[in-house]
Amino acid sequence: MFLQVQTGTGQILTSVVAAAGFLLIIIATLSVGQFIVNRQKRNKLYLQQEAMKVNFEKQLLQSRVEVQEATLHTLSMELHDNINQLLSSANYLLRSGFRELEVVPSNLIEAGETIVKASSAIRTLSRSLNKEWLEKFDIIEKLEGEIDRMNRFGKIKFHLSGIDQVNLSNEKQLLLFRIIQEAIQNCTKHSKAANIFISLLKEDHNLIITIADDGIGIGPKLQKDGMGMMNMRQRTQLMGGSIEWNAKAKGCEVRLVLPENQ
Amino acid sequence: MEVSKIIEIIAFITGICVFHSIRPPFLKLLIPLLLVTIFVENYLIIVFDANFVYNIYSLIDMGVWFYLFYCILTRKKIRVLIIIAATICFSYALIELLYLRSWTLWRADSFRIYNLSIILFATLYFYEINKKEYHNIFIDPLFWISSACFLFHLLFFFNNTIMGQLFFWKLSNAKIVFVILQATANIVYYFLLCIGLIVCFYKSRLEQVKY
Repeated sequence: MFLQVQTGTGQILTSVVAAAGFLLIIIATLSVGQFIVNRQKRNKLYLQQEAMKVNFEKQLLQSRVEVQEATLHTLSMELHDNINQLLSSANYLLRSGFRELEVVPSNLIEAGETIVKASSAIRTLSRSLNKEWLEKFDIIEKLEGEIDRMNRFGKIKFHLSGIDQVNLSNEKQLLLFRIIQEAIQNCTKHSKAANIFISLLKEDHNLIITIADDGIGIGPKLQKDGMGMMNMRQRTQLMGGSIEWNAKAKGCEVRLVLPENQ
Repeated sequence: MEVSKIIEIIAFITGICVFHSIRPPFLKLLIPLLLVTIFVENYLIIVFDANFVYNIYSLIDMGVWFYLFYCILTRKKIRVLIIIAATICFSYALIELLYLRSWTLWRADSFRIYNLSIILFATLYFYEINKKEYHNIFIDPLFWISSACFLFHLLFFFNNTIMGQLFFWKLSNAKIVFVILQATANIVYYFLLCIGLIVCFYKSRLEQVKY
């Protein structure tokens, strides 16, 4: 009888130990499972937040670009409708004055010609800043016009090479044009270059744009992100591309890689 | 052949197949360890005294896992903790083998310290990845390997504890319960190691596609 009870208790104890062991592994496995589920939930939340953040930044950038374009458009209108008209009036008054003089001094003739040139330059500049006007033309044509204008009026020689058609939407072409304008402006302001080379090439569904000069190169001060460089970077990001500034043996190079429209 | 031994061999074969894809490289050390385990469990314990063989093998196993966790956990303070734990475990194991017990008796006490250390290190790894804002555990072999260690050593700790109780061995079917629990621990361990190794391969393929 005693032996039977002892054997019964022993079996119960064995079962308890076995149950405890299996319970332990079940709880531990469930804990690891719970950890995986929680981690995945947090990952999902993080990705959603990141997507929202990217979307918000994109919208913010878009708004900034739109505001900038609107400002440039207003400036363009102002140049065309106000300053250009003033110059025309000045030219008209000068010509009227010529009639009252028996002998027109050569410097006054030269002043009149300068006013005509300035008026022409302002008209061209006004066009380049006008969004509506730009949307009617492709970037290559626009760049050719811009380079032609700068070659006529400036000391620096501009060279354009590469493809004659880009597969980008009008909006992206406009953004790219503004980036190139900013890069050119930086070169003319800081590089002390004699030549600026702009090239547009295609490479595996990407558009590679380089703006290089033969000037003094990038100094340590210029390497810091200024407003212009920040604008260029933001505009490139908006188009889903990348931008880098490279120092060369002589001068520097801005290199843009943009995905083309598929 | 026991199921746990079959999974052990599968884990080794998986390791051989994905050997070149194993990243981080220190995880390659698992393959010789698995080879030694197979050799120990299928040959040495039959030829020699099982406890003697397991006592020696456990020292190798301890060294390998302390090294692996030293590589996995990169924070300086944790690394110091690993070195301290390894010193304590090895010292206690040698004291237990040389003075407290003998080479032919299983060193359950020092092995329990080792079990607890590995559980702690695996938990610390979970904590580290839980702190990150984003961490995809499905492409992290270290997570699966740490999970294997966590579950295996938890159950092995339980087994080592009941093994040390004399009353347990007097119970009917005690040996069967012990063997089943140990086999379960082994199955979970080698299964998760297999997943970890497969994840290494999957991750390297993903990286190849990326670049």
